[in-house]
Amino acid sequence: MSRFWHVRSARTATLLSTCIVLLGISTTSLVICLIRLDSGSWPSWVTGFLDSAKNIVWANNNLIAVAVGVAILGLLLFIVALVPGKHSTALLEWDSVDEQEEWVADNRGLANLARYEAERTDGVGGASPTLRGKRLHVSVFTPVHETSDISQSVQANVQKKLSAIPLAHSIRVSVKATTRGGQ
Amino acid sequence: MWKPNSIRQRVMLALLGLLLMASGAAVAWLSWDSTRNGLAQTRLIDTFSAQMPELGIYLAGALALMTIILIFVMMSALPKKPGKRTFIYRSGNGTGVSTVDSRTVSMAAEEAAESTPEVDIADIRINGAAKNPVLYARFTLRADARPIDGIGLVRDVLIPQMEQALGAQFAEKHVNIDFQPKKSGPSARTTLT
Repeated sequence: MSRFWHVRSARTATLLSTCIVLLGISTTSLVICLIRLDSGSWPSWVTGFLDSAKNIVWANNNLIAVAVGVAILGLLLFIVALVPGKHSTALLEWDSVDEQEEWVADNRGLANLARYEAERTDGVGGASPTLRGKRLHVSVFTPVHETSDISQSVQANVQKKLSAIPLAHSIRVSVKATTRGGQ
Repeated sequence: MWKPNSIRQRVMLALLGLLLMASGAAVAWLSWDSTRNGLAQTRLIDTFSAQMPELGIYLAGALALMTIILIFVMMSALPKKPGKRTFIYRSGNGTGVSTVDSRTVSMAAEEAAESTPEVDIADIRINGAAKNPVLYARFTLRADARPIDGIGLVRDVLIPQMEQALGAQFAEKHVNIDFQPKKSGPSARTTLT
Protein backbone atom coordinates (compact mmCIF):
# COMPACT_ATOMS: atom_id res chain seq x y z
CA MET A 1 0.00 0.00 0.00
CA SER A 2 1.32 3.42 -0.94
CA ARG A 3 0.78 5.87 1.91
CA PHE A 4 -1.23 9.02 1.28
CA TRP A 5 -1.15 10.94 4.57
CA HIS A 6 1.87 9.69 6.52
CA VAL A 7 4.54 10.90 4.11
CA ARG A 8 7.56 13.11 4.51
CA SER A 9 7.75 16.65 3.20
CA ALA A 10 7.91 16.79 -0.60
CA ARG A 11 9.78 20.14 -0.55
CA THR A 12 7.14 21.65 -2.83
CA ALA A 13 7.60 25.20 -1.53
CA THR A 14 11.39 25.09 -1.98
CA LEU A 15 11.11 23.68 -5.48
CA LEU A 16 8.44 26.13 -6.60
CA SER A 17 10.20 29.19 -5.18
CA THR A 18 13.51 28.16 -6.80
CA CYS A 19 11.74 27.58 -10.12
CA ILE A 20 9.96 30.94 -9.93
CA VAL A 21 13.24 32.80 -9.38
CA LEU A 22 15.00 30.93 -12.19
CA LEU A 23 11.96 31.36 -14.44
CA GLY A 24 12.01 35.11 -13.82
CA ILE A 25 15.69 35.30 -14.76
CA SER A 26 15.35 33.10 -17.84
CA THR A 27 12.22 34.84 -19.12
CA THR A 28 13.72 38.31 -18.68
CA SER A 29 16.93 37.24 -20.42
CA LEU A 30 14.95 35.63 -23.23
CA VAL A 31 12.94 38.81 -23.80
CA ILE A 32 16.15 40.88 -23.87
CA CYS A 33 17.73 38.49 -26.42
CA LEU A 34 14.66 38.53 -28.63
CA ILE A 35 14.53 42.34 -28.58
CA ARG A 36 18.22 42.44 -29.51
CA LEU A 37 17.71 39.99 -32.39
CA ASP A 38 14.64 41.81 -33.64
CA SER A 39 15.78 45.43 -33.39
CA GLY A 40 19.56 45.01 -33.61
CA SER A 41 20.16 46.90 -30.37
CA TRP A 42 19.87 46.11 -26.68
CA PRO A 43 16.88 47.51 -24.76
CA SER A 44 17.71 50.84 -23.14
CA TRP A 45 16.89 49.60 -19.63
CA VAL A 46 19.75 47.06 -19.69
CA THR A 47 22.48 48.90 -21.60
CA GLY A 48 24.05 50.23 -18.40
CA PHE A 49 24.22 46.73 -16.87
CA LEU A 50 25.52 45.21 -20.12
CA ASP A 51 28.19 47.88 -20.54
CA SER A 52 29.61 47.05 -17.12
CA ALA A 53 29.15 43.29 -17.57
CA LYS A 54 30.91 43.03 -20.95
CA ASN A 55 34.19 44.29 -19.48
CA ILE A 56 34.31 41.71 -16.67
CA VAL A 57 37.47 39.59 -16.90
CA TRP A 58 38.05 36.13 -15.48
CA ALA A 59 40.45 37.45 -12.79
CA ASN A 60 37.75 39.28 -10.87
CA ASN A 61 37.05 38.83 -7.14
CA ASN A 62 33.39 39.78 -7.54
CA LEU A 63 33.01 37.03 -10.13
CA ILE A 64 34.50 34.49 -7.74
CA ALA A 65 32.20 35.69 -4.94
CA VAL A 66 29.06 35.42 -7.10
CA ALA A 67 30.08 32.01 -8.44
CA VAL A 68 30.81 30.68 -4.95
CA GLY A 69 27.44 32.05 -3.78
CA VAL A 70 25.64 30.23 -6.59
CA ALA A 71 27.53 27.03 -5.78
CA ILE A 72 26.60 27.27 -2.09
CA LEU A 73 22.96 27.87 -3.01
CA GLY A 74 23.07 24.79 -5.22
CA LEU A 75 24.62 22.77 -2.40
CA LEU A 76 21.88 23.89 -0.01
CA LEU A 77 19.19 22.89 -2.47
CA PHE A 78 20.89 19.51 -2.95
CA ILE A 79 21.03 18.92 0.79
CA VAL A 80 17.38 19.97 1.23
CA ALA A 81 16.41 17.50 -1.49
CA LEU A 82 18.30 14.63 0.16
CA VAL A 83 17.52 15.22 3.83
CA PRO A 84 14.21 13.50 4.66
CA GLY A 85 11.59 15.93 5.90
CA LYS A 86 9.42 15.46 8.94
CA HIS A 87 6.09 13.71 9.06
CA SER A 88 3.14 16.00 9.66
CA THR A 89 1.00 13.17 11.04
CA ALA A 90 1.15 10.59 13.83
CA LEU A 91 0.08 6.99 13.26
CA LEU A 92 -2.96 5.60 15.09
CA GLU A 93 -2.89 2.08 16.48
CA TRP A 94 -5.26 0.80 13.76
CA ASP A 95 -2.76 1.69 11.07
CA SER A 96 -1.75 -1.47 9.22
CA VAL A 97 0.04 -1.68 5.90
CA ASP A 98 -0.78 -5.43 5.68
CA GLU A 99 -4.50 -4.74 6.00
CA GLN A 100 -4.28 -1.78 3.58
CA GLU A 101 -5.43 0.70 6.23
CA GLU A 102 -3.73 4.01 6.92
CA TRP A 103 -4.98 5.75 10.05
CA VAL A 104 -3.26 8.95 11.14
CA ALA A 105 -3.83 11.96 13.35
CA ASP A 106 -2.72 15.36 12.13
CA ASN A 107 0.08 16.85 14.26
CA ARG A 108 -1.47 20.29 13.95
CA GLY A 109 -4.77 18.86 15.17
CA LEU A 110 -3.08 17.22 18.16
CA ALA A 111 -1.49 20.58 18.99
CA ASN A 112 -4.92 22.24 18.71
CA LEU A 113 -6.31 19.66 21.11
CA ALA A 114 -3.47 20.29 23.55
CA ARG A 115 -3.99 24.05 23.32
CA TYR A 116 -7.72 23.69 23.93
CA GLU A 117 -7.17 21.46 26.96
CA ALA A 118 -4.40 23.67 28.38
CA GLU A 119 -6.46 26.85 28.04
CA ARG A 120 -9.37 25.17 29.84
CA THR A 121 -7.21 24.64 32.90
CA ASP A 122 -7.88 27.03 35.76
CA GLY A 123 -5.39 29.86 35.92
CA VAL A 124 -4.13 29.57 32.35
CA GLY A 125 -4.32 32.75 30.28
CA GLY A 126 -3.03 31.30 27.05
CA ALA A 127 -1.11 28.33 25.71
CA SER A 128 1.24 27.65 22.83
CA PRO A 129 1.92 23.97 22.12
CA THR A 130 4.72 22.64 19.91
CA LEU A 131 4.67 19.02 18.77
CA ARG A 132 7.93 17.50 17.54
CA GLY A 133 7.87 13.78 16.94
CA LYS A 134 6.82 12.12 20.18
CA ARG A 135 7.32 15.17 22.40
CA LEU A 136 4.78 17.88 22.98
CA HIS A 137 5.95 21.02 24.71
CA VAL A 138 3.30 23.42 25.97
CA SER A 139 4.18 26.97 26.94
CA VAL A 140 1.46 28.57 29.05
CA PHE A 141 1.22 31.97 30.57
CA THR A 142 -0.68 32.72 33.72
CA PRO A 143 -1.28 35.71 35.95
CA VAL A 144 -0.52 33.52 38.98
CA HIS A 145 2.91 33.93 40.50
CA GLU A 146 3.20 30.37 41.78
CA THR A 147 3.35 28.43 38.53
CA SER A 148 4.25 24.89 39.65
CA ASP A 149 0.63 23.87 40.37
CA ILE A 150 -0.49 25.33 37.06
CA SER A 151 2.22 23.40 35.20
CA GLN A 152 1.26 20.14 36.87
CA SER A 153 -2.44 20.64 36.16
CA VAL A 154 -1.84 21.48 32.51
CA GLN A 155 0.53 18.53 32.12
CA ALA A 156 -1.98 16.13 33.66
CA ASN A 157 -4.94 17.44 31.64
CA VAL A 158 -3.15 17.45 28.31
CA GLN A 159 -1.56 14.04 28.90
CA LYS A 160 -4.96 12.59 29.81
CA LYS A 161 -6.56 14.04 26.69
CA LEU A 162 -3.84 12.71 24.40
CA SER A 163 -3.83 9.31 26.10
CA ALA A 164 -7.50 8.95 25.14
CA ILE A 165 -6.51 8.97 21.47
CA PRO A 166 -5.43 5.53 20.22
CA LEU A 167 -2.01 6.62 18.97
CA ALA A 168 0.53 4.03 17.87
CA HIS A 169 3.22 5.79 19.92
CA SER A 170 2.54 7.72 23.09
CA ILE A 171 3.37 11.41 23.24
CA ARG A 172 5.32 12.81 26.17
CA VAL A 173 4.03 16.17 27.40
CA SER A 174 6.17 18.84 29.05
CA VAL A 175 4.91 22.18 30.27
CA LYS A 176 6.53 25.49 30.99
CA ALA A 177 4.44 28.12 32.72
CA THR A 178 5.33 31.80 32.69
CA THR A 179 3.79 34.52 34.80
CA ARG A 180 2.39 37.28 32.65
CA GLY A 181 -0.04 39.99 33.65
CA GLY A 182 -1.79 39.93 37.01
CA GLN A 183 -0.61 41.91 40.03
CA MET B 1 -6.40 16.75 0.45
CA TRP B 2 -3.54 17.28 -1.96
CA LYS B 3 -0.83 14.74 -2.65
CA PRO B 4 2.43 15.86 -4.28
CA ASN B 5 4.74 13.43 -6.04
CA SER B 6 7.43 13.48 -3.39
CA ILE B 7 10.13 11.45 -5.13
CA ARG B 8 9.85 13.25 -8.46
CA GLN B 9 10.00 16.66 -6.78
CA ARG B 10 13.01 15.73 -4.67
CA VAL B 11 14.82 14.42 -7.75
CA MET B 12 14.11 17.66 -9.63
CA LEU B 13 15.27 19.74 -6.67
CA ALA B 14 18.44 17.66 -6.38
CA LEU B 15 19.13 18.08 -10.12
CA LEU B 16 18.58 21.84 -9.91
CA GLY B 17 20.89 21.98 -6.93
CA LEU B 18 23.56 19.94 -8.74
CA LEU B 19 23.29 22.16 -11.82
CA LEU B 20 23.72 25.36 -9.81
CA MET B 21 26.50 23.82 -7.75
CA ALA B 22 28.39 22.59 -10.82
CA SER B 23 28.06 25.83 -12.79
CA GLY B 24 29.00 28.00 -9.80
CA ALA B 25 31.95 25.79 -8.90
CA ALA B 26 33.18 25.69 -12.51
CA VAL B 27 33.10 29.48 -12.91
CA ALA B 28 34.69 29.97 -9.48
CA TRP B 29 37.48 27.50 -10.31
CA LEU B 30 38.20 29.03 -13.73
CA SER B 31 38.29 32.48 -12.20
CA TRP B 32 40.47 31.40 -9.26
CA ASP B 33 42.89 29.60 -11.58
CA SER B 34 42.85 32.28 -14.28
CA THR B 35 46.46 33.39 -13.79
CA ARG B 36 47.67 29.83 -14.54
CA ASN B 37 45.26 28.97 -17.34
CA GLY B 38 45.91 32.22 -19.18
CA LEU B 39 42.38 33.58 -18.85
CA ALA B 40 43.20 36.29 -16.29
CA GLN B 41 42.67 39.32 -18.52
CA THR B 42 40.26 37.66 -20.98
CA ARG B 43 36.75 39.08 -20.92
CA LEU B 44 33.94 36.65 -20.17
CA ILE B 45 32.14 37.67 -23.36
CA ASP B 46 35.23 36.89 -25.45
CA THR B 47 35.20 33.28 -24.23
CA PHE B 48 32.42 32.54 -26.72
CA SER B 49 33.67 32.18 -30.30
CA ALA B 50 30.31 33.19 -31.78
CA GLN B 51 29.38 36.85 -31.93
CA MET B 52 26.05 38.58 -32.24
CA PRO B 53 23.65 37.78 -33.87
CA GLU B 54 24.53 34.06 -33.76
CA LEU B 55 25.36 34.24 -30.06
CA GLY B 56 21.97 35.84 -29.46
CA ILE B 57 20.21 33.01 -31.32
CA TYR B 58 22.02 30.34 -29.29
CA LEU B 59 21.30 32.21 -26.06
CA ALA B 60 17.64 32.71 -26.95
CA GLY B 61 17.29 29.01 -27.81
CA ALA B 62 18.93 27.89 -24.57
CA LEU B 63 16.84 30.31 -22.50
CA ALA B 64 13.62 29.25 -24.21
CA LEU B 65 14.42 25.60 -23.49
CA MET B 66 15.23 26.43 -19.87
CA THR B 67 11.96 28.37 -19.53
CA ILE B 68 9.92 25.47 -20.92
CA ILE B 69 11.65 22.96 -18.63
CA LEU B 70 11.08 25.18 -15.57
CA ILE B 71 7.40 25.58 -16.43
CA PHE B 72 7.12 21.81 -16.82
CA VAL B 73 8.81 21.27 -13.45
CA MET B 74 6.46 23.73 -11.77
CA MET B 75 3.35 22.20 -13.35
CA SER B 76 4.40 18.68 -12.34
CA ALA B 77 5.15 19.86 -8.80
CA LEU B 78 1.57 20.99 -8.23
CA PRO B 79 -0.11 18.46 -5.97
CA LYS B 80 -3.24 16.63 -7.09
CA LYS B 81 -6.42 15.42 -5.43
CA PRO B 82 -7.67 11.86 -5.91
CA GLY B 83 -10.20 12.06 -8.74
CA LYS B 84 -13.77 10.84 -8.60
CA ARG B 85 -14.80 7.62 -10.36
CA THR B 86 -18.01 6.36 -11.90
CA PHE B 87 -18.53 2.80 -10.72
CA ILE B 88 -20.31 0.48 -13.12
CA TYR B 89 -22.29 -2.42 -11.66
CA ARG B 90 -23.47 -5.22 -13.90
CA SER B 91 -26.30 -7.56 -12.96
CA GLY B 92 -25.66 -11.27 -12.45
CA ASN B 93 -27.17 -12.29 -15.81
CA GLY B 94 -25.40 -9.48 -17.65
CA THR B 95 -28.57 -7.70 -18.81
CA GLY B 96 -28.59 -4.79 -16.41
CA VAL B 97 -26.02 -2.06 -15.82
CA SER B 98 -26.13 0.64 -13.20
CA THR B 99 -23.66 3.37 -12.43
CA VAL B 100 -22.78 5.10 -9.20
CA ASP B 101 -20.81 8.31 -9.13
CA SER B 102 -18.35 8.05 -6.26
CA ARG B 103 -18.62 11.80 -5.67
CA THR B 104 -22.32 11.41 -4.89
CA VAL B 105 -21.59 8.78 -2.24
CA SER B 106 -18.76 10.82 -0.74
CA MET B 107 -20.84 14.03 -0.61
CA ALA B 108 -23.66 12.18 1.10
CA ALA B 109 -21.17 10.74 3.60
CA GLU B 110 -19.68 14.20 4.22
CA GLU B 111 -23.11 15.65 4.98
CA ALA B 112 -23.96 12.76 7.25
CA ALA B 113 -20.67 13.15 9.12
CA GLU B 114 -20.99 16.92 9.52
CA SER B 115 -24.48 16.53 10.94
CA THR B 116 -23.04 14.73 13.97
CA PRO B 117 -21.89 16.71 17.01
CA GLU B 118 -18.42 15.14 16.95
CA VAL B 119 -17.44 15.98 13.37
CA ASP B 120 -16.84 19.56 12.28
CA ILE B 121 -15.59 19.09 8.70
CA ALA B 122 -15.47 15.97 6.55
CA ASP B 123 -13.56 15.74 3.27
CA ILE B 124 -14.02 12.41 1.50
CA ARG B 125 -12.87 11.10 -1.87
CA ILE B 126 -13.57 7.63 -3.23
CA ASN B 127 -11.37 6.26 -5.96
CA GLY B 128 -10.43 2.82 -7.30
CA ALA B 129 -12.85 0.39 -8.98
CA ALA B 130 -16.42 -0.74 -8.27
CA LYS B 131 -15.32 -3.99 -6.59
CA ASN B 132 -12.21 -2.46 -4.98
CA PRO B 133 -12.98 1.12 -3.99
CA VAL B 134 -10.30 3.18 -2.23
CA LEU B 135 -11.14 5.68 0.49
CA TYR B 136 -9.30 8.96 1.07
CA ALA B 137 -10.81 10.87 3.97
CA ARG B 138 -10.02 13.64 6.39
CA PHE B 139 -12.28 14.20 9.37
CA THR B 140 -11.88 17.30 11.50
CA LEU B 141 -13.28 16.54 14.96
CA ARG B 142 -14.33 19.13 17.47
CA ALA B 143 -11.75 19.57 20.22
CA ASP B 144 -14.46 19.93 22.88
CA ALA B 145 -15.90 16.49 22.12
CA ARG B 146 -14.33 13.23 23.34
CA PRO B 147 -11.77 12.22 20.69
CA ILE B 148 -12.47 8.51 21.02
CA ASP B 149 -16.19 9.13 20.34
CA GLY B 150 -15.44 10.94 17.12
CA ILE B 151 -12.84 8.43 15.96
CA GLY B 152 -15.14 5.54 16.86
CA LEU B 153 -17.99 7.17 14.91
CA VAL B 154 -15.78 7.44 11.83
CA ARG B 155 -14.41 3.89 12.08
CA ASP B 156 -17.49 1.97 13.23
CA VAL B 157 -20.37 3.91 11.66
CA LEU B 158 -19.48 6.25 8.82
CA ILE B 159 -17.05 4.03 6.94
CA PRO B 160 -19.21 0.87 7.17
CA GLN B 161 -22.19 2.91 5.93
CA MET B 162 -20.17 4.05 2.92
CA GLU B 163 -19.17 0.45 2.21
CA GLN B 164 -22.82 -0.54 2.42
CA ALA B 165 -23.77 2.18 -0.05
CA LEU B 166 -21.07 1.07 -2.46
CA GLY B 167 -21.80 -2.62 -2.01
CA ALA B 168 -18.12 -3.40 -1.48
CA GLN B 169 -15.52 -3.09 1.25
CA PHE B 170 -12.79 -0.55 0.73
CA ALA B 171 -9.64 -2.15 -0.70
CA GLU B 172 -7.59 0.63 0.89
CA LYS B 173 -8.44 3.19 3.54
CA HIS B 174 -6.46 6.39 4.03
CA VAL B 175 -8.00 8.27 6.95
CA ASN B 176 -6.69 11.41 8.62
CA ILE B 177 -8.14 12.62 11.93
CA ASP B 178 -7.72 16.30 12.64
CA PHE B 179 -8.91 18.38 15.59
CA GLN B 180 -9.85 21.98 15.84
CA PRO B 181 -11.57 24.17 18.39
CA LYS B 182 -15.31 24.53 18.08
CA LYS B 183 -16.23 27.48 15.88
CA SER B 184 -18.47 29.98 17.64
CA GLY B 185 -21.86 30.44 16.00
CA PRO B 186 -23.64 33.73 15.21
CA SER B 187 -23.81 36.09 18.14
CA ALA B 188 -27.00 35.86 20.19
CA ARG B 189 -26.75 39.54 21.12
CA THR B 190 -30.02 41.43 20.90
CA THR B 191 -29.92 44.88 19.33
CA LEU B 192 -32.60 47.38 20.28
CA THR B 193 -33.65 49.70 17.49
